[in-house]
Parts: sequence; C-alpha cells; structure tokens
Amino acid sequence: MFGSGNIVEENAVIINRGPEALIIGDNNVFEVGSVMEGMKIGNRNTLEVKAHVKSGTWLGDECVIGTVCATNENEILPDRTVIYGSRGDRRIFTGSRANQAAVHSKHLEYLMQFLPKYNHARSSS
Amino acid sequence: MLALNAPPGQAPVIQPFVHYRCLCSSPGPSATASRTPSTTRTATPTRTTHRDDKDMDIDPTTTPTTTTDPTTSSPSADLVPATAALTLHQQHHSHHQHEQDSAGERSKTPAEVYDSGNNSDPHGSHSLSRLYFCDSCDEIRCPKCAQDEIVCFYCPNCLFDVPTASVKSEKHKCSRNCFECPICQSTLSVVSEDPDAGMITAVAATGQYHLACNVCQWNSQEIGMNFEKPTGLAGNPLMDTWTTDCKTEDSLPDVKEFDRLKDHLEKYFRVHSLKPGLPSSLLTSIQSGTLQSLRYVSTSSHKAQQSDDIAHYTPAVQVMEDTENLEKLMSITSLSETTTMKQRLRQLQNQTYSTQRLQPQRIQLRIKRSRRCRSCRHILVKPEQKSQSTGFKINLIALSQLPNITIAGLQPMIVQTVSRVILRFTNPRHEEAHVSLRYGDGAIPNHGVVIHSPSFTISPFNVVWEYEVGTMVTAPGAVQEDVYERTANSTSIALDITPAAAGEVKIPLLVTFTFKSHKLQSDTEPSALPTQLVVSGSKDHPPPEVELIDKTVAFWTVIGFGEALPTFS
Repeated sequence: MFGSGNIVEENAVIINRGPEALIIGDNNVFEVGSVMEGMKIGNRNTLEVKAHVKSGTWLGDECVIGTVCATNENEILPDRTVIYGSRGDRRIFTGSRANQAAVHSKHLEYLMQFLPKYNHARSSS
Repeated sequence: MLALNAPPGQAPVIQPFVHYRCLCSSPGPSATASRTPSTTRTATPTRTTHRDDKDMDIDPTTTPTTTTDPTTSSPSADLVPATAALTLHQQHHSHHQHEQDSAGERSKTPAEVYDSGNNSDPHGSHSLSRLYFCDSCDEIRCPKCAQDEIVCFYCPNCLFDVPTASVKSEKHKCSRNCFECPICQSTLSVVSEDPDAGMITAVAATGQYHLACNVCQWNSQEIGMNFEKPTGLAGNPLMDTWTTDCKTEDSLPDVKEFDRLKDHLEKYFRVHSLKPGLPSSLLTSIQSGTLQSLRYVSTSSHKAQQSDDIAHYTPAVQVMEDTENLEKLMSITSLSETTTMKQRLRQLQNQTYSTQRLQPQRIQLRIKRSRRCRSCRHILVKPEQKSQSTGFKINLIALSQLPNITIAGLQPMIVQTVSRVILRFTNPRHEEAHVSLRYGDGAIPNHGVVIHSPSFTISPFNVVWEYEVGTMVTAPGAVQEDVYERTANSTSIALDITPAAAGEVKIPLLVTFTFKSHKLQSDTEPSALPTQLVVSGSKDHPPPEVELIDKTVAFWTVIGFGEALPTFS
C-alpha cells in the first residue's frame, strides 16, 4: 500500500519480503539507490542515497536513514530516529526539521511541473 | 596488501608492485642486520647529507661538492646509529654494492635491498607517486628527506585565507560562521525559521537563525542557541554566554589556579636561583608560562624541599568529590546520553560526560605546506597561496622527471620455471632519454633474471600524441635491439625471471637514467662551460640562455611480481 506525496528516485528498490502487505505512508523520500525491504514505513521519512532498510523492520514517522546506512532486521525504529555516520550511529532527534516539510512540498511541485514535459507517460484518458 | 581481492578465509593476495628507493634512509652495514646478510663491501653514500629523519640531526659535514669517495670510515660510523634507530622491528638483510656511474659526472652509491612491504615502507622504498626529484641535486627525494613549511592557513569550510597574523589570536579556528556539530563533527549550516513557508513558530525574541546539522539532524535550538543575523557568528557576543570558548580562557578556574600556584612557587626560585642544577632557561620558561615549566616545577620543588621548606600552599579552588557526576554516570540507562571520547575531546574546556552540554565548536583551520629538499634547500613543491586553487607554483615531482616503470605483462610464476615479464618504461620528459638496467644479484633469495635489453632509449613525451589512438611504433633512427615494444613515449622490455624459491618474488633493479636537462646559470660547477659562455658573451654574441647537458641519475628499484608457486613435485 502506497501513500501519497512520496518521492521515489532512480534505482530505488521497494520490495515486499513478507507475507503481509507492505505499508508505506505519506510524504516519504526514497533517494537514489535506496532499498526498502521492511514491513512498514510511516510518514515523512527519508531514506538517503543507498540506505538499506532490512526485512521485517518497521520505521516510524520522520526517520532519517543516512547515506549508505542500514537498519537491522526485524527491528522497530521509533519515530524520529536518525541513523548516520560511517558506523551507523543512531540518535533520536528532537527539535524540528523545520524546513523539511516546506522543502518536500516544493520538491513535489517541481516534479509535478517538470516530469510531464520529459516523461511521456500515457495518461488515463 | 589488498585483502579485498582475496576470497574470504585465505591470506591476502600479494600484488605486484614497483617501488623506487630513495638514498636517504639506507640502512647501515651488516652490524644492524638481524639476518646474516651477504655483504660484499661496505659502501657509504658519497653525500653524507642524507640523514635519517628520526634522528633529526643535520649533518654538519655536508659537502656540496660531489667527490667520489668510496669508503670512508667516519660516514659509515654515522650511518650505524642512524639505522639502529630505524631497525626497530623490521628484520632485513642488507646488501651493499658500490656503484660507479660511468656516464655521469657524479657517483652515487645506492643502497641495498631488503624485504619491503607493498606500500611505501619506513625504509625508504616508495612508489613513484610519492617521490620528489630535486633538480639541483639530481636525486630522488622521499617525503622524509623533504622539509615542510607552512604556506598559508585556510578554513576548510568557507575557504577563507586567514592572514597569518590573526591565526594565533583566533586560536587556529575559523572566525566566521563555520561550526562543527558536537554530535557528529560534520559542518553545521545556518538555517532560518522561514516565515514564508508557513512554519511560523512562536517568534522567539532572540531571533530567527540557528545552526543545524544535515547528517545527524541536530540543531542548536536544542541547547537554546539562536541568532539574529546569519553572519559573523563566531564573534557574536552571545556565543560567549553559551560556550566556554577560548576567548575567555583566562578566566577558567584551572588556568587561574595554575597562575596562583606559579606565583606561590616563584619566590622560591628567586632565592635558590644560583643552584647549579637548575638551568637558567628555567626562569624564562616560567615567566613565559609554557606548560613545560610545569615539569620543571615538579622536579625543582623536589630539590628545594631537600634543603628548604616551601610554605604550604592552599589552593583557592577545592576539588570536590564529584559525586553528582558519579551518580549520574552510575545510573546510565542508555548510552545515547553519554558523550563518546571523540565528542569529549573536541570540547577540551569542560570535557563533559553529558550530551546535553556539548556545544558546537568552531572549525579548525588547515594549512597548505611546501616541501623543501633537506640538502640543497631548494623548494620541491610549493602550492599556490590562494586556498581555492589546488595547483602548484613549483611542482618537482618524480613522476614528471623520472621514467615510470609499470608491469605490462606478467606470466604466472612457478619456481624454477622461466617466466617472462614485460616492463614498460614511460618517459615523461620532452627530450629523449636513455636507460640502462642492471640486476642486483646479491639479493636473497637470488632469482635468476635475464634482461634482454639492458640498455635502451625512450622517446620523448609529446602532448600531441596523447590524442592519437593506438600505438605508434617509431623507429627514431637509433638501432635498439631486442626491445619488446616501443610506443609513443614508452619502451617495453622483456625480462626472463626464474624464481629460486616460492613466495613473493621481488627483484632489485638498478636503473640508470640519462637525460638532457637545461643547465642553469646559477649552479655552475667548475667546468669549462661557463667560461665559454662568458667568452661568447664578450664577443657581443647573445650568450645562450640555456644549454642542454647530459645528466644521469641512478636509483634502485624493487619490483615485486606477486607470489611464485612451488613446482609440482
């Protein structure tokens, strides 16, 4: 199940490895080369370039999996978890990612404006 | 050793390599070797200027002239302590050869051969990319025989060239908006709460800007750090209230305590200042307040107590038992609340255990360095002064002066079987060059090496040929027999190698490289040429600005070909 407002970039892989439906929330960003094999993902998360969410993992809301970082298998990540760094350090971030929602909506607007010009998808009509 | 290439569970694969040896760190004669070496003759370099870095002594007997002096006892004795320091852990066998270069004006006695690792190792065997070439001494210089000097200071984030005068006052940190995240040490960016996007939070009275980290999502609002304007944050007086930064260093309690202790003990120095045990520099070092004086204080106060009693010193600050911190540390439930060593060591003022008290630090400045030849003091590499430009004003690297030897063809090595190896020599210079090779046959183990073309020329480098596809087989007229292949500016030769033992196959090759070079007017040696120049000048002919003369460099290389498999029995 796929929510609204998600951005899936090139070479991103979203695979359902489990028996149940894979649930993806709204306004997530799957950057280039990211791999999503988990079970659930909430809203406003960001999987950065080549991030890897392993199977059976649940992601909450507003998480950030950093570049080339990975989660463990069968893990439940609370909201606002950040995985970053070369060793996969984690922390829960407080405070607001103030501009993130604004940037995301601008990103969506831009794509909606420019993709139809260059990506000739057949319209439903 | 690239363990990445080996399949798991096996030893790392030994890769082939080509290394060049610099004259400086030649280990001494057999006295320092732990294995029994096969020394033929003890040799000493004619230039006793090459000193090992670790001993840090400049040889007072530097002789700028280049007389050939095969064996002198004193330089060899000097070499022994230098190399005794070197051979701490590494066993090696040494082999000395005295090499007289027939063609050159100078004689170089290159060093011996020993087991070296794949990378540039502490005994002076480097790949060509790490070496420099001093064109006034005409010798290879490794990074150890080059002296570093600072060219400029710059901030790695904003690339601002900090003038040298203000570096010290800013404590070697960037004085603009460059901060590093206390959590992950990546660069912070200045972010504003953007009212345009509709994210109007309660407009804080203190302002709109704060610092945010893009990697770990930390922002300075977590510690209540907000700014009104986005520039000049380091000098912002508000910063001082949040940080115990270096500007207020003198008011830190431990610095004040140290000053008091110094004042207390100083009067004892004045009384006993004539004691022979105390160096006279001690008083000056105390007055200058260096940390070294602390060491002297402890030893000298011990001496003072033997003869006199120092009045008891009561410190102004009592060090309390840090029970609060102790309790906090004992009751840690999650490691995310404690700081790591790396985070703590970035904040040396208070080195807190709690992540809540970590503060963003200003970014440390970096330097650009220039390297200088230790013997002749000419500059080898000098980067440009501007921090944004990565080029060099002077760039005397060995890659552009010496032939680059690469292994162009390699057959698998089996003990006692002849295998053929192709070595390609690439000439980076714009004039034709001549190379002659010799195998250093004193090495252990002694593999049989047959060089098919021990002496050959290489065509010069021409930029135009870079764009031509395919090899150009040129026959520049000179007859060279048995060269395997000749392309644009490289010559390949064949070697037949018979490994004598299994294991890594390494052979030493003495390469003698003769090239034409412009003779500089300044470093004239006593020879007939300068007088000819003077004569021709006086006859109102414009004296030739440059002359092309032959110069020769001889150096040892160690070439490894990987492992030799044992024969099938």
